[in-house]
Amino acid sequence: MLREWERCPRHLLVSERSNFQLERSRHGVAVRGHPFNYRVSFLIPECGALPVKLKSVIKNFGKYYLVKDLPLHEFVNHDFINIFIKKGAFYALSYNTKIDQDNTAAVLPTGKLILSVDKDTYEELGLQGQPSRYSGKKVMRYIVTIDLTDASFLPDTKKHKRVLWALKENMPLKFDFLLAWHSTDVEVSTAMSYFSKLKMKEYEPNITSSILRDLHCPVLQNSELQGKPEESCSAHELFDWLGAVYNNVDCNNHSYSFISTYCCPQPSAVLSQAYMCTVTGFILPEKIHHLMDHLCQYFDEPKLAQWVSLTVHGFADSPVSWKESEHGFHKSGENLYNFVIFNNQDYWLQMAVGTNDDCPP
Amino acid sequence: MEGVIYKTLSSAEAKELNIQTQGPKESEAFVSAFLKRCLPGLREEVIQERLNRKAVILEHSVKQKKKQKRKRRKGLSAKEKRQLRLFEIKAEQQRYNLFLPLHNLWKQYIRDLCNGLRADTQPQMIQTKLLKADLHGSLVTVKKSKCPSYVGLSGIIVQETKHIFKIITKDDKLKAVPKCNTVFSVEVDDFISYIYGSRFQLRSSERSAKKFKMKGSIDL
Amino acid sequence: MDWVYGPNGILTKTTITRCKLGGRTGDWVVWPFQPKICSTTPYTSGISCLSALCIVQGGSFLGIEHREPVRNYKSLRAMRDADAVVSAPSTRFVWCLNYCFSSMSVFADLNVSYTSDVKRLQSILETAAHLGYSTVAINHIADFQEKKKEIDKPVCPSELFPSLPIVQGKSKPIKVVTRLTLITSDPSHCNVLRSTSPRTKLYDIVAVFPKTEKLFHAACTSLDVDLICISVTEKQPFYFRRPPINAAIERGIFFELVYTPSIKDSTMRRYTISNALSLMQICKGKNVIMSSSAERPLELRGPYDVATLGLLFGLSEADAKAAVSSNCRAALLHGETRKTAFGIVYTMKKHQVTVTEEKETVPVCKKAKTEET
Repeated sequence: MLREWERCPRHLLVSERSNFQLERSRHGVAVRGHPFNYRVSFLIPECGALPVKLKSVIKNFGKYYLVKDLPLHEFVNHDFINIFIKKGAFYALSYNTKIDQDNTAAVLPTGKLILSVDKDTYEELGLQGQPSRYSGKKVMRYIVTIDLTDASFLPDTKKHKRVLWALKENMPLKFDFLLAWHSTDVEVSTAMSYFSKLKMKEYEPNITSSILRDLHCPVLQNSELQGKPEESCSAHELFDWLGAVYNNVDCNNHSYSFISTYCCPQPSAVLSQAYMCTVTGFILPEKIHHLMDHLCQYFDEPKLAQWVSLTVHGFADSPVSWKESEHGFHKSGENLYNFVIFNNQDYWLQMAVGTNDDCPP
Repeated sequence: MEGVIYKTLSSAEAKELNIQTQGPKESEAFVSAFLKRCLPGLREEVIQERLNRKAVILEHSVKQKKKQKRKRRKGLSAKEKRQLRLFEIKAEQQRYNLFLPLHNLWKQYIRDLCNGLRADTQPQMIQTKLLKADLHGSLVTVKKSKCPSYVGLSGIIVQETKHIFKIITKDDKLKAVPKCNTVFSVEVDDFISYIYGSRFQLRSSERSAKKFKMKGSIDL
Repeated sequence: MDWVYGPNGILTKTTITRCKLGGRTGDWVVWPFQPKICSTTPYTSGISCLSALCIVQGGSFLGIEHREPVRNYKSLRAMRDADAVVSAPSTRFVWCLNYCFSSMSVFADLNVSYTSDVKRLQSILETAAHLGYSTVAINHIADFQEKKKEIDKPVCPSELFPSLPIVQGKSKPIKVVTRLTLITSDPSHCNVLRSTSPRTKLYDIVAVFPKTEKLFHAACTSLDVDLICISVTEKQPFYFRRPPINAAIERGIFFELVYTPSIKDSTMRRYTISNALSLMQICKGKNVIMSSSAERPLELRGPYDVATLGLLFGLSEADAKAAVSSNCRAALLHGETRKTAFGIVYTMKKHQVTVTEEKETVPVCKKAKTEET
């Protein structure tokens, strides 16, 4: 029995260290490859007010849309493909669908429609897919991928007809979708009027910020990713601590507190103040990349802080985590990454995924 | 005494009795010929040997019955039928319209089977009848399948084998659909029936006599 | 050995053995973490990890003894993809815990006690919907020992609720089915099941609670039931034996563990755990479902919590989650089979179909098709 307990589900945390100026640096891959983000938070130590530049960046994260009961065959429509998929990066994720219970759908910016459907739906749907990687012996979930930009996916081809028949006549699947679009040359809101015949609502990302005082903060050494006892903390410890900070967890470990026994990893230093900002919504990777660039520029002028941190959480119920690697939900569906940006443009990148997930890129 | 009996008849007596007398050689030849005819299958020497010692029962020929291999040729064997391509439907006959009369016949058959199939008939009754019914000529649709490309196929069953339904679709294509891991739907008047193919893997003739058992679940 | 890079762990070398897979002199190190109760990150909150995998350049490939080789291999294969990438950044670590499969479908609680108090029943169902259950079975108990009585008619869910509560986080309403539990202490009690009694047929699920070993054997091997209840309020009166349980698994019958008594009372908890563990020794976590048997809304627990509770009953992570989701689905389908003709043909009236379809607001085309013919 105890053996069973020891066999707890797998989680992955990947940590790496590199420099933004390096050619082989993969920070762009990590950010752009993570399509569905619901929360972006950053922490700037020793900072009382947000620089104006950063403020305008987070203000301009762009709108996103919630469309109710959007039939899936709309995405297979060639008008849609020509307007949205071919002229920009289109992001869509079904809303309020749980990846471990319901059918879930998403459109990736690469023009792929991904359906994660349960066994019953798959057997009735009539579209070829693959069993989920995390299903073990009894397959209860299938992943159907339709490449909308494929050359053989033109109107009136056999493939297109079959998909259209499956999604329109055989099984008209409908979802509430979160939509966002990134395009350089077309106005987003005018293009979005394409969906105006459906119930559509416009949303803006929600920004909350606070200044933390007298914060215990682990000491980091740029070159020591795995930490040195008595000298600096490891990436893993920092990651743990950041979670505590972002969630307002009390790190004091008072004897009377029964909620948390967490305390700041040692060695630690006390920060007089730190600026924490959290943006929630359906946030596009392009915007996050933009924010990251500005956070790097934060160190252009000499600052007291040694580092800033940027954490991005992905949707727990999205069918993909990074790129097209399958994402699942066992007891938690986390897929998140964290950048620790040092003042010499070095960075630590930490990518974490839950149980039913591929290793991050 | 013996001499009197076995003596050859004198010519006068023979004439009186109207019998042709034979010389001793002739009579010998006659006997051997006679014996040979009466005892077929024995060689001459054997006959002679027997004559020396045994009484010969005349006119009891042990006719060896020629065992005629009685082939009960009702028709061709399945293998021969296959070789002659009797099971196959010629390409020019693979037309949906050709099978529509069969479908109408089948509908009539099911209605008769279910005593007229009124709207208030119990579905339970229909499903037990359908279990044993012949499905040739029924219009089926693949509702569910483990293999998604079969889903949505619809047509008239023209052949049923142990593992396969051969159906002709509306666009005149003959398709073979395995029964295993497939759910078919059949519509008759007001009723819709689902056939779970995995447990249906029997020839239609065997199925009518089979006693089914409750086992497993309807999950594919 | 170069595995001293523990993120925060104090390493105990004794628990480490070379993995049977025998990887190349390469990149993988496995070591145990100190169990950690106090992680706070959303990421680490689930961890309290005991073992971990790490890529270290120039390290060696080790495994923890108790791991199953197959699982180990799977988890490593997932990591191999990362392997190719490792070389790019200057340093890269991968922390990894054990691998776990989970087959998934909607959550169900197949045992909510029936009371004649409609209001209470309603509030239980509302709570269940709020907790995220998509399917709930209302349980009618027929105890022949107490009083010789007929089996009740099942309660009709549509009578109970003018509109069913909507499952939290979804737009679908909760699905309510009916279930009958027969408490059998005498072989004669099973006659109700054998004869095709019209009352039994009205229920979606039929469960049996055998009190003696003989009846348990009969329930596993021959009776036409979907669920077999395991006693949780007293010490199991008989030992579980392998043949009947294997037969039950073969036939697709599920064993039901009820968790409410173990929440209420510590003695009951002891019985529940001991009985459950003795069952798990035989059935290895297969064909087990967990349900509440709740009489009050407060006795219900969320599906993920129940799955965690399942660990106490000796289920593995994946099996525990299956016990509240996919196994319940299989049991429901097994019950549905009873309504068909030997699980082969299932007929229903067409206009009934269209009515249900309209309710579910699914296939429009199906209706169109039926109108054509």
